[in-house]
Amino acid sequence: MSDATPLEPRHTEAGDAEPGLRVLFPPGDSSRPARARQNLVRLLVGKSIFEALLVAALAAAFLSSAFNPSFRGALTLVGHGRIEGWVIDTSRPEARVEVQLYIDGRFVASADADKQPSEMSGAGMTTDGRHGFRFDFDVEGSSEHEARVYAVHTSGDEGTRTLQLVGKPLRFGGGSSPEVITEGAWRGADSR
Amino acid sequence: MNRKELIDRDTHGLSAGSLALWEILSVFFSILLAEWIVFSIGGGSNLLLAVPVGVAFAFMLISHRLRGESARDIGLRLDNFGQAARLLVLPTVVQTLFLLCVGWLTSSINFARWDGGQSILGMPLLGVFWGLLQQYALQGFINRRAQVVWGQGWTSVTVVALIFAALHLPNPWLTLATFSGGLVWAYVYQRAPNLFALGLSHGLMTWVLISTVPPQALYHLRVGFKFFG
Repeated sequence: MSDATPLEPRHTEAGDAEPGLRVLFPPGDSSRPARARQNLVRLLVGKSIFEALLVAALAAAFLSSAFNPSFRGALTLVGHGRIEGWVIDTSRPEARVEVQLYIDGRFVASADADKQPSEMSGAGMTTDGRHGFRFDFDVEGSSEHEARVYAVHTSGDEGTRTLQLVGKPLRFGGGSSPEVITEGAWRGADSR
Repeated sequence: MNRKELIDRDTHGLSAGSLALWEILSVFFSILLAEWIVFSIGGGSNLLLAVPVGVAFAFMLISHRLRGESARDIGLRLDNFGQAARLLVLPTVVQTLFLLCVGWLTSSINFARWDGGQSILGMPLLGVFWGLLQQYALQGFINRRAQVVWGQGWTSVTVVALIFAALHLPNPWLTLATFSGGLVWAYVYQRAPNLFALGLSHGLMTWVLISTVPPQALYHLRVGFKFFG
């Protein structure tokens, strides 16, 4: 900006050589700029530490409220346009957990896990046993697909909804037969 | 070498430019922290949002004190109000005409769109206060520190505008608008440092922007994580 208005030279941190609007350190006392600079550095370090602690505290609070470690469940059947499984919130066994189905990363359907499951390795966690879900769906083509079922956890005043993967992502299609899954129950605490 | 000598050596080893750059980045990241992290994992709590923003403002005020900067130094003065206002007239008129054309072409001119609360004075008061606050941080602090690093001129002006624009990401049109406004305001501040004139200009341009550009295009002025909903 060569056409800038000439400003009077001032005692500046950057030196007196160039005129212009400069950030001052207090003139006169020769020890004061060094002390001020030291304090500024300390202030910057303190501010950074405070902000790091703030982020850590927020992250810890968020993780503890947004993810439910009490979910238990499993997928028990996948294939031929059907996925079955069950999910329980062991901290509130009377409640029905909402589950959502995604195929190849796209939302397909949502349902409550309130049906009597055909198989439930989590028996004993609940009195009525009605924590099963079943999704019937159509997929195009004969290629292989990936299905993911998520348990929905709602938290906070704003109703933050967190999806926690039930079991593992499952592949189906490509001419394979329906698969009955015999793996152990999934635990919410294992969620990623 | 005792502890005091070590501290002296370390802080003297940090150049004036490095220290000023650290200050700029510190304030910049505090605002990013509020917009992106605190908003997303803090559940949108205004109280939590005020923490990093308040820390940034407290830091800026203490930094002024440590550096011996007066309110007059940073631009809270009236003697050069006229000079700053004169410098702002042309770009403000040009930008207003441009935005009016946009509003006319998109049939979205509505000067009552920004209600600013219940009172009829709400909008102008909010606009000027908010504008002054942003201009204080942007020019009274960041521009001054940028001049320590890059000197007076287009480099520091562009850096200030880029920082201002980056704080409005990922809102595309608002980022563009703030970059353009940031260039003008940073340039004018380096010629005539007056935050009152810049605050008025900021408030006025915000009002014109909101009144002329379709709200959907501005995504209701949402920035940071809030932009996504």
